[in-house]
Amino acid sequence: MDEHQIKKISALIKERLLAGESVPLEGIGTFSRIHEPQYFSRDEKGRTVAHPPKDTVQFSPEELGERE
Amino acid sequence: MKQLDFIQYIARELNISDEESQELLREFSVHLNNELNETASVQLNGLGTLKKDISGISLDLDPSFAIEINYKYAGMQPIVVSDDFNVGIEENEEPEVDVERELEEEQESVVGNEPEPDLDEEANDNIGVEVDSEPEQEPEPEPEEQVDLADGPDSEVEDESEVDNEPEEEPEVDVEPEPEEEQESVVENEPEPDLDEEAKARIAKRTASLRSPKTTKKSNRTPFYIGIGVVFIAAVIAGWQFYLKPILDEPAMLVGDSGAEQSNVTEAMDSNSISEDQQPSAALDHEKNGLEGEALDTMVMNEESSIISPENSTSRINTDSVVSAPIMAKNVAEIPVDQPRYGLMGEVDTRANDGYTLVLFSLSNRQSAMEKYELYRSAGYRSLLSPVNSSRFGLMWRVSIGQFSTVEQALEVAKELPKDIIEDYFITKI
Repeated sequence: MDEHQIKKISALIKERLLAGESVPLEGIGTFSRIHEPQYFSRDEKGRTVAHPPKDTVQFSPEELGERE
Repeated sequence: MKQLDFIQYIARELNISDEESQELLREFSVHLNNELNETASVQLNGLGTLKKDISGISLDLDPSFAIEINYKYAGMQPIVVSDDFNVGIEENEEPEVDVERELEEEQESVVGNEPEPDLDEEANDNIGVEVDSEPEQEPEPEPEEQVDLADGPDSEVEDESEVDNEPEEEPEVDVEPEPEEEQESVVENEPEPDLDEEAKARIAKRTASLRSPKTTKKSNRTPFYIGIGVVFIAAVIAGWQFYLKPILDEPAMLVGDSGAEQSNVTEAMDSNSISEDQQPSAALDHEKNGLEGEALDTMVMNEESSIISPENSTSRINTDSVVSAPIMAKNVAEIPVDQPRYGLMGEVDTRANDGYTLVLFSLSNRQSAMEKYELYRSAGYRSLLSPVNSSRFGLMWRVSIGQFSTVEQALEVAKELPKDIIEDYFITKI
């Protein structure tokens, strides 16, 4: 598999993730977009601070049992 | 997305058959596995790095991608919900200052030889504690004690009088030892009776000369501080006049006029790429599905237009965005008389733009944002449309509902709203 094909597939995985979808790769695992809603914390002065939501990508490796 | 869907998607995008796509993806998986087994790491361009260790395979997200995937939240900053705790802390701190003052007063009273023995003991204890806990005040008593030991009762009396006059000023620490040393030398020369008056005169003269610079020193600082204050005020005024005021007077200048906005956005991206991505909402899932293809184009636009250095991280996403005031707010005159200034329903009150709102969507397409704005406005909500100018993601439109005086009020209202109206939201300053 050449570098050009790897880049193309990587770009297409990225696009799916940006569209909010998970991308399963057989034999490896699944890329998933994770949404973290807003949350509250306390700052050093003891004040309650609301943090904005955040999206991130998580990779879940495929379990051995998952492979067919 | 299921495995089969992704195979078909790859086939469609690369103009190959499903079988070829499946074979390509299989080769891709084999390649990743081989790389991970050989080097324990494989780089996926623009996506991140897959790493294999004892705990398994993990993904280190590419910093630029981490920012890109969060573009909907550009300009959103953490906000303080309540500063009640802070007020409490300040209230607790104030008595400490009072205690210190009391201690100082007690210390002074000890120097003044007050007759009550209990107070003296307390004061001595407190002085010890204070010296231990506040090293800044240590230099003050030290030189005095040294002088007390070295000199006779004359110098001790002088020291006490100085403590009574100006006990807290640190500059004395630097200045005091010098005259006292000089006084020592003078006192040592006391056996010669002829020099006694001359020595006293010199002491008086030098004491006066040493005290006079203190006053001039203090007075010299005042113009300096005034000068700094004037420069600071001038800088603030200049900043206000030339930067903030034009923006506040005409927030639209950040984005140009509405017609230009559309054309600018259109020029900035390919005409086919004008689309939207939105915060998840059950009520609009069908729209999201319909716009899925367009959303992809937008993402590509974002990727191309954003200039992101590798060292950027997700925490920096909020730094380069400017959120302007809502531009669709109605005039105050059109608001019903009995409508409260803050609230969820009714007409938007520009006077309430100093409060908070529930952000529901961040859209890259102005027309789509207008539609959302109208949707909620026609349903009776106070609907706000605010442009967000991000240096990374370009112009975006933020649709929010409600005007609330406090974050707590916004939170209470948000909890009561049905999930089909707001599934995901964020409270932010208007």
